[in-house]
Amino acid sequence: MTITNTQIPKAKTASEAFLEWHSEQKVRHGLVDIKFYPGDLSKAAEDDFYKAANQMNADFKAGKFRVRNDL
Amino acid sequence: MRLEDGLLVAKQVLGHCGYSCTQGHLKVETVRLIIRQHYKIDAVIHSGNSPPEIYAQLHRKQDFAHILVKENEMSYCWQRFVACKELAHLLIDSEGSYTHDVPALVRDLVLHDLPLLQDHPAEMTSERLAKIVACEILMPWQCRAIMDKMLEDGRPCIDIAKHFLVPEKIVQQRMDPAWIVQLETAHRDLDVVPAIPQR
Repeated sequence: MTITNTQIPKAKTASEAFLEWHSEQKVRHGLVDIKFYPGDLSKAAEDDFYKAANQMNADFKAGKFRVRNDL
Repeated sequence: MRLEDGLLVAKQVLGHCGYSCTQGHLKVETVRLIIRQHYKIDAVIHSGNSPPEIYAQLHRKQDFAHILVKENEMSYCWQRFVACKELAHLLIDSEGSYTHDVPALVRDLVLHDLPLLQDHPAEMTSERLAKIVACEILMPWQCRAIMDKMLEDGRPCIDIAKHFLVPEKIVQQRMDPAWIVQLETAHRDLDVVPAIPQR
């Protein structure tokens, strides 16, 4: 069987992945707002920011974050 | 929302907290509990590792919110400040200031820093005002006499930062003379009388 280029699914960009996650959160989980505190963006482009946000959300979903009551 | 409205919110929160300048720093946890009790929004603060490009996120639902804070390579003071800034969004934002256009917000964040001092527009962006409200909660205007005295005594900004447990960079922005003038004007409009240092 020959696979042509048109059959290979195109990888999502970081922004596409983030916006898809955001849309799902709104529709399925009642998210009404999202805000960010940007970090070091001196060498970052928009895509780097989305990659970071995706990574943070994936780690949160995976239970890698801990609750803080000590701040 | 106007700057004055944001300052009023910060003042109300401090009142609910029963904050007094003699106690030094205010715990962000206290602010979180006040928001739950008086504003009926239950926020949970979480921390974990994050890439350098992002310090915190707020995921807000109707009466609930997750605040994700970067923990690695972030000082305790920075964690406190960014968590408080995201809590401030819960205090000042209404539906009109919710993020409806994520790409536009990200573009704005990537392109622009958010200094406290700008041209004092009548309406402020939610991002900038949240930062100002966080400053006012953690370094209250009512305690400015303490800050002024420390500077007059020749002590560096880092000493003020240690007193209030906030980042030194935020203290430097907060103590900018031009910004102080704007704050004075705004607080005067609120009819707030700051504490006078005892000499």
